Amino acid sequence: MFKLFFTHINQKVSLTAAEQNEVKTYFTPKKLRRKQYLLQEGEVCRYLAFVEKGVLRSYNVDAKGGEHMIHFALEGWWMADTYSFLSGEPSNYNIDAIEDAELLMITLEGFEQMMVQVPRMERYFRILFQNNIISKERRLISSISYSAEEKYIRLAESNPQLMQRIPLHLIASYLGITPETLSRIRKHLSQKK
Amino acid sequence: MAFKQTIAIIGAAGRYGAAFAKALSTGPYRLLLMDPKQGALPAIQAEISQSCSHPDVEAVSCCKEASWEADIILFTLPFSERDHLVAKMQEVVTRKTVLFLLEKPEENALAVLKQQLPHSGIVTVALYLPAGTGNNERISGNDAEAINTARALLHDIHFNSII
Repeated sequence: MFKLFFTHINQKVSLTAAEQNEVKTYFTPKKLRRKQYLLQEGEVCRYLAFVEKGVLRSYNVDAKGGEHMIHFALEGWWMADTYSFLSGEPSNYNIDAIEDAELLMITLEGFEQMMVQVPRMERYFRILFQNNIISKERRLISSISYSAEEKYIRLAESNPQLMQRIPLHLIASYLGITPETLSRIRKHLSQKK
Repeated sequence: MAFKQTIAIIGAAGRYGAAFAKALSTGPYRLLLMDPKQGALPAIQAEISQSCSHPDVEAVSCCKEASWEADIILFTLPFSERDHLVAKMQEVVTRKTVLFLLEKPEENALAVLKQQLPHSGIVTVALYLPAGTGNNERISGNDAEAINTARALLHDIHFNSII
């Protein structure tokens, strides 16, 4: 159950067996079926979740009911509305499962306790949050500077597994383009090959 | 829209398990029914479907699977069936609320369960209290949040009317 979790963590920091056993006690294992919610808009995001299996998405819904993808999380990725999780403010996002999922979830209280008991986890999360800031900066630059085709190419190159697992209309939403535009881009790219 | 909690009822075919399943089915919960006597569960599901317009109830054959998916576990089986099923669920109930229904208050039950599930919020709920015992002694637990969860749940389903 914690195999991928510790593989992922040990790529960044090296935990002893005793530290791993301690870390396990802070995480709640949870199965989520496809289309089940982990978080709904208006609630406080109580958990930071590591995806052991399956795919999650976070998104918000506009006044007309349109969904706008914020993030996806495949195996080995983390998912939460970090603002709501850390501040205790209600979230503007929904998080649900695109595929049946197995998660390891931690509350803010558990998170803080774990950092004290296992300081190496503090280093792990510092690295994780650094990478998250870089990723958000890149996405911001991408969204204001690149054409729709460039955005798609960059996403496909940096996260090829997303293209295989996520339905195209959700990818289009993530890129801020219509499904029809994405379809045209894909057709154009395949003709260029 | 409120988050729908998932409750696993272990021993859902028993007298109390079935009564809790029916009471909880009208609330904002998704129910997973598990019982060693699995053949009895369809009848309970059918009964719930008749009394509730949109029940979110499913029978699950494995105690571990049900507990893994659940946010709250309600264990209603008698003492003799407790240990081996608790051992099966132990790995997947870390930091979850686990309620154990007891016929009457058991002196060592909480300590024993705490040893078996050291990282869970354990609450024991006594169905019957000896004469002269206050209602406050019905619920015992090792975690304040788990006790509050149990109290809210029992209040929601009008616990006294069930027993």
